[in-house]
Amino acid sequence: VGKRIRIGLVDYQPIFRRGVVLALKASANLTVVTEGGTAADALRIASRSALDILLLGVEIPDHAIATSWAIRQLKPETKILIVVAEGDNRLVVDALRSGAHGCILRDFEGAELIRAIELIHRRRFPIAPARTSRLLSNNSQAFLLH
Amino acid sequence: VAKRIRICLVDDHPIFREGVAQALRDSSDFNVVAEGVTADALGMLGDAVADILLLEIGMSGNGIEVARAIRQAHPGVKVVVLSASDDHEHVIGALRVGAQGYILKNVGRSDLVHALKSIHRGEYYITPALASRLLSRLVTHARGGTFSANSERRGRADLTCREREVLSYLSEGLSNREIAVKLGISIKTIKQHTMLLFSKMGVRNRIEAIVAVRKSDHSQANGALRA
Repeated sequence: VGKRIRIGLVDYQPIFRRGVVLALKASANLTVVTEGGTAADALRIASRSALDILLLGVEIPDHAIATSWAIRQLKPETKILIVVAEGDNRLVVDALRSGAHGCILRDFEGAELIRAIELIHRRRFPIAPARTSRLLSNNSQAFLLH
Repeated sequence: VAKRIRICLVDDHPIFREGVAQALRDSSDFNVVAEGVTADALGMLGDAVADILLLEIGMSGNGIEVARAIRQAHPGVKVVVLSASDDHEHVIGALRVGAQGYILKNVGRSDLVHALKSIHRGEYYITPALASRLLSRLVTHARGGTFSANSERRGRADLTCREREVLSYLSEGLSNREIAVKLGISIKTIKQHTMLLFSKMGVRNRIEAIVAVRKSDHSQANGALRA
């Protein structure tokens, strides 16, 4: 039996977190080990728990970017998947520059999230939103950061 | 046994819908009778009988028109906006078209349950932080005299730049298509702007909007002459 992927779940919408926890139960490979609602929670959680992946949904996009950057400095072994509300080009590029491994639009289905997490865990980029992957191919710089 | 409150759940984010559905399942007071995306909202109510429709209006607020359409087609269904946007224009827009609540999506389970129960009893509910911000705004504007409930006296102060642009072309008699070409954006977007514009101005169509503009320009000109 392989080790389960340890996930930290931070999102400013508690109801959304419920949905994520429920959705991730569909995969036996994943386990949500800790939760939080703010950027400060994300920093605390990431520094205390040995996470494989942090799912990061912070209300203000620039705060998500800054948090991602800080956590990548602090815990380079933890990979970050940022949840974004809209497919904003600048945001996606900034996210990748911050060291995050991917962005996923808020309108994902459970199966898409599981796929994205597993892809990232295998050191690949999430294919998640079509809009994001199109953007990535136009910004090979973003790939080179990893 | 009291009857369960029948909820119709409309949100473009499947995970959020799952979260709400699960949060409400935990309580025996609710029954989620239908769920789906905003585009299907009207059709869903055609098929299911609901007491409350929970409706996400999107960050641009374009679901407000969906709320209006639902209130018109199904006056017996209470519409409650559940939104990530704390833009006061969206709150006022939603209440104007007949929404009975405006709840921010960062709400927790127990607050959501509490809000839905009080709305079902006939009360209004607005996320408290939002309500107090709105009230203080209302008080400030009431002092300045630009935030009157009387639509005829309302200024154009709370319109966005884009809405003002659209309004000025509109009052020159341009069609949606012509305005779209002028501004280099799609007709769909123009339609969204005009719908929000009308709801903010308290008018029903472009003719009424033009009349309102003429009236206010006229009174401003008179005021300037007197000054």
